[in-house]
Amino acid sequence: MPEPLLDRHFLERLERLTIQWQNSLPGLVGGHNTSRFAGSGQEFLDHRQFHHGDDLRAVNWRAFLRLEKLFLKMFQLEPRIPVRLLIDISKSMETGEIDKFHYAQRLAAALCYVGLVRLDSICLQPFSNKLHDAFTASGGRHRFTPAMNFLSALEPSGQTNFLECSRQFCSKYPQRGLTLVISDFLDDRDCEKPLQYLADFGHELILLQIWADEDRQPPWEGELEIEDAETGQKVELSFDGDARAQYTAAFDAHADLIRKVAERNNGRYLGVPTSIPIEQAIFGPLVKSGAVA
Amino acid sequence: MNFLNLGLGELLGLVGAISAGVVALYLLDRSKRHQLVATLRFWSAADVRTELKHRRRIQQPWSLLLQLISLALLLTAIAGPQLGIFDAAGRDHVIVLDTSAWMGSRAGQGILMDQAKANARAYLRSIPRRDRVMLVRADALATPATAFESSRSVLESAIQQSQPGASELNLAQALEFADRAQKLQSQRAGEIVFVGAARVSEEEAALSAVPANLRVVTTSSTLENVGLRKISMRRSPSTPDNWDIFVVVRNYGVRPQSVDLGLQFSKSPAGSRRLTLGPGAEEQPALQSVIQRAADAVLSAVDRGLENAMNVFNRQPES
Repeated sequence: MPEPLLDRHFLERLERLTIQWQNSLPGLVGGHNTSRFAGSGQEFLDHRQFHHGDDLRAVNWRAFLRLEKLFLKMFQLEPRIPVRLLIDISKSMETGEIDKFHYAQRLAAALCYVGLVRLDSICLQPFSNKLHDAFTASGGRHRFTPAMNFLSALEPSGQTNFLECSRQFCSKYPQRGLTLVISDFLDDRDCEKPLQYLADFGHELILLQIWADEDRQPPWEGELEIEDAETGQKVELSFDGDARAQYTAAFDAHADLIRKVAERNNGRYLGVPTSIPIEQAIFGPLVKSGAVA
Repeated sequence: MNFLNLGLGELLGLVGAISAGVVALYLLDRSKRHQLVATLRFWSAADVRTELKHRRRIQQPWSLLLQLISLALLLTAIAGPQLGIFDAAGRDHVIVLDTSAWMGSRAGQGILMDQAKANARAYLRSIPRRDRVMLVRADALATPATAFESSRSVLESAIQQSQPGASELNLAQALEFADRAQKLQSQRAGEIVFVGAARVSEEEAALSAVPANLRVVTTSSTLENVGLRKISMRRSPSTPDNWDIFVVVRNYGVRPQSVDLGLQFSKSPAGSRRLTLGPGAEEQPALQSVIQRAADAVLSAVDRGLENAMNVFNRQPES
């Protein structure tokens, strides 16, 4: 019997958390984040002038009797918006001494559990060069076991193609929502444009970049034959301390680019090395970033 | 040069083939590590790509050179090279071991015979095991101790059992016997090895026919000995009652010696002289004494050891 992705103690700690989003997104009543849009909520928000076509049930008749003017009561809306987790299952996620793919599975499971506990609608959407079959769950923690089974059954395959996946995502999910992308963002092509594409479509982005220590600072030296895990392409080279410094600088620049994409679209970015335990990553940097609270 | 089972050309070919393999391995650069990485984009960004031709050069030429030399030496050692033509049948040698009385002389902690035995055993170990050896003990009469024998244990036992005899060495007879034995009994004649002190007179040495295949392994003893080589006496021509005594004293050692030469008559001292002899020097002092009866004359030469007293009566061969 395979080991469960998350243990009981960790799940109990996760129950205190809530997935947070910042943008005001349209949705049905039942969420836990207030929206700047007024609607049919429970909490009174404000009055405004009545216009033709407004619902007469929302007119403040007491104010009309005193002032003989029609005012409409507005209520605070707490929409229930979909939370979608895009999980990178490309072959590049398999690299590293600590498996990035397993780390992503556990991180997605933890976020899924947080969302399900708060009755959010969770969609687990694996992707590589295309969108794979998704798993949607909502309605409470009792739906977590199927979600965890779904995550456990995922296998890394294919190459990363963010552009194609973004297109497919936008056409598959027209309703805007919170989109958490769990990936190493190591697409040989540019991944800035596809992420911007998602943000422009109206999705709120939380970008969780996972890297192994070897991805950022390769520990090897001397004559190397390196092979791309996704394409199988091989390069022979000699690697030393100076080259490592250049490599790390290039990696950091790439991570900074992804962070800028998130921030300029009112999203959030978090870089997580796999050397940090998953529990520490969630209750540390992820909570600080405001993605969960 | 030949080898145990390979000719020189074959061995060189083998060394060349293995060396080529080693060089090929170096060129393939086995030290290069294979690593699976998530992407290549940062590797190219870090500008660390190297041309393939750079990788083809040998990274550690000195290490390669040392390995090739070690390999060649190892193969040569395994092949067991020997100078000369390969001889599968082996040769027949004769060891002539000097067992004359002189070999009983003291040398260091032992006697000369011990040194000769050690030399004979060392020679046995130096020759190939396929060679046969005959041991001949040589004193006044050359006596074969073994036939041509390939068993080293038998030969070493025969060497060990050899003891110095009571007679002098007849070198010519011993060499002739060895030569004849080789001619008659050996399949492929090897060497005649004389092991011993070889203390013979110059005349005998000059008369001996030396075989062409003779090897001499002498004992390296340095005996410090002074002895009387000649004693003669005559009635004095002027006074017939007196006798003139003539002796020749020789220092056989390599260091100068001072000895006392004395004359006793009827167990009473009748005269003496002190002589100082250089290394290898001879002196002929004259002793004149009045001796009534020559038959009672006893000469004794006194130096540091008992050997000198013996040498008065023994004939001393030339060294």
